[in-house]
Amino acid sequence: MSDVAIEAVTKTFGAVSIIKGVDLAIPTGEFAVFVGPSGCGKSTLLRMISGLESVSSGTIRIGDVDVTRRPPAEGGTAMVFQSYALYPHMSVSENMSFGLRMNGAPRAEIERRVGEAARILQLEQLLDRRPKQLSGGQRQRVAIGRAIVRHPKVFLFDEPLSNLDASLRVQMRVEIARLHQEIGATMIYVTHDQVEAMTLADRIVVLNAGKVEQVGTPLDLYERPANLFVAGFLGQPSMNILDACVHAADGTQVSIRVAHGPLIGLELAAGHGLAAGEPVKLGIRPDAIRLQPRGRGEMPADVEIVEHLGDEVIAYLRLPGTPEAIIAKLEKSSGVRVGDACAIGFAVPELHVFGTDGLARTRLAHSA
Amino acid sequence: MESHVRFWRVVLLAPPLLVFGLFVLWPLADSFRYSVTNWNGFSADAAFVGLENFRKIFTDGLFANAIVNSAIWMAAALVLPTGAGLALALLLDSGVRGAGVFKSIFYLPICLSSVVVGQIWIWIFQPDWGLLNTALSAASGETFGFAWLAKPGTALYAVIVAWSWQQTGLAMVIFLAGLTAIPRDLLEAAEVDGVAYLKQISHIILPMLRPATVVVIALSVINSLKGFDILYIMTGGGPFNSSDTLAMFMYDESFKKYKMGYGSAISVVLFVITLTIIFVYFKELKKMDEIYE
Ligand SMILES: Nc1ncnc2c1ncn2[C@@H]1O[C@H](COP(=O)(O)OP(=O)(O)O)[C@@H](O)[C@H]1O
Ligand SMILES: [Mg+2]
Repeated sequence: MSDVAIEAVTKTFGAVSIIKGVDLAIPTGEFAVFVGPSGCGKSTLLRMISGLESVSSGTIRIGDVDVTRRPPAEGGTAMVFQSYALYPHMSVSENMSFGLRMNGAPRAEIERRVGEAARILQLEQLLDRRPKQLSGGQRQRVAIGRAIVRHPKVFLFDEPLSNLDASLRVQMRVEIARLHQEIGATMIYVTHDQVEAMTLADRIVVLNAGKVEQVGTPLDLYERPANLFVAGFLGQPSMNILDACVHAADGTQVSIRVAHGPLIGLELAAGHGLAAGEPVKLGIRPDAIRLQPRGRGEMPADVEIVEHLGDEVIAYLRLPGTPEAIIAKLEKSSGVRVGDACAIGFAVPELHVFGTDGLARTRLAHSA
Repeated sequence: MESHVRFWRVVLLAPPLLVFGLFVLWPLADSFRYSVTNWNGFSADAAFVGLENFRKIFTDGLFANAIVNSAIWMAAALVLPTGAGLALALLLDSGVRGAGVFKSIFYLPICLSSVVVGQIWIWIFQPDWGLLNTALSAASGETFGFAWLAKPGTALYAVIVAWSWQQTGLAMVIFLAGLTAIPRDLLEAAEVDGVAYLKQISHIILPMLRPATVVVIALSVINSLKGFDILYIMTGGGPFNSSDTLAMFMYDESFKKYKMGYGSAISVVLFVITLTIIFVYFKELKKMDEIYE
């Protein structure tokens, strides 16, 4: 087990810059998740850590070893691929023991480790099967087993659950979380699925277009997104982003007029740099929206679509006479119906303020 | 309805079956028929001689010679193009510069007729000004005038070289296709696990190339059995029958010595050998289906 340090790492393919300067420190034993839209460079960064991809500039260190220019074998990482990458002509146990056998590990040791991995992953009954004879979930467990037997310094997962169907994905997600608890190794996990990221991670690294947008615990990122990208990317349904305008700014006291809506007063940390008349964006999570009877609330709206999810209801609201739609996540007891004329109420403490630069302005607690 | 379907089946299958019967089955049956006669190939009368031709075959020194040469020929045709084709495929697949151009160059000989290939290599082996001797002379500093195709010790092997040169491109192309079908992830997984490249070849690439290998081997064997024209062009089986293969031997006996009955008996033996090889091939093919999807 080791920590991983990534410093000023870049990657270019020909003239195209894919990773544009990434700094990260992943402490020993942490479950770090790289999340971001497809094509943002998650796999490339992971493959650079493994040594499969060369590093254009910067350094990568695993434990005490600078692995920037080392071949994959010397990094001490083990990788689990989205495609499972199992050898079709080998049995489950041969697949798991392959790396050890090829590197001349003693037989008894190989057997012990394969047995241990098979126990952890409940593969004991399947050791003699060929990959072809396994289900998708079982194949993925074998791929994980192949990583476990090597006792790597760092586990690398590249979208390991993407090929599984939805229910199996949830089940394997739990197993991976359990695996991390049981062996406590450093793990770096790549996914484009924000639910996987939120549920698995000790810390999430949000990547976008080859850059780190924000690093933090799942709750951190959810409650205090540093910018519009992170705000929009994490959370399901996405955060509502409303156009607004600074009405007045007096020190930390700022009042903001929502387009087609109310005037809201709140307190921002010093240095927010906002001045009266400046456009801003207001972010509000769907679950922070309250529906009120028309006339009482500040922002009239019509209910366009209602989705029942069982325990909760998603309502798509339209502000009359505008193209703007707002999504609300409500209690199932809210009794909202299509065609209802209502008004939107904000839980002001849960509003996020973003400047024209896309960066969040820090709210001060107890602001009203 | 039922009879309608049957009618069209018969109508549609009749032409190919007719052609197959006329040009394959009929001559095949004919060779079996002639193989028990002493027909000379043109006269009207031929006497039934029973299994006499076959008895003669197995005591004929020239047949033994042809069998040995055929075995050498086939073994070489199996090993050389397969090995060279595999090596080239691995090299070109590893992303060396200009791989596309080299693929075309190595494949080119397959597109040439064996007659042309034979002629090219006759020039290469030409004793006085051929490329090989010129190169050897230049390298050794002495005049080199060895007649490769005219010496019993080298004639067969010289033709084998020419033949392998032509067949390597085919093996290479099939192996390249096989390599493309191996997912990159598999080798990367091995690479991360610290498996050396040579071990990746022996434990992953070669086993996964088995389907391609079976095809290459089958084609090599079948082509080598058919490999008559290049021998005919380059040595004609000589000198002193030193490069005679079964096909060459059969041709000589049938059409040069006018022993059509005897030649037919040889062709029957060749047919049985071919059939055995193809039978083994299909059994192998079936076994493979059980491993790979
Ligand atoms: N070997 C390569 N050569 C050129 N471009 C590449 C290569 N590998 C990846 N890319 C490009 O880099 C970008 C990021 O790819 P990747 O890291 O796979 O994204 P992600 O895993 O986040 O979906 C993509 O635009 C992709 O096309
Ligand atoms: Mg990817």
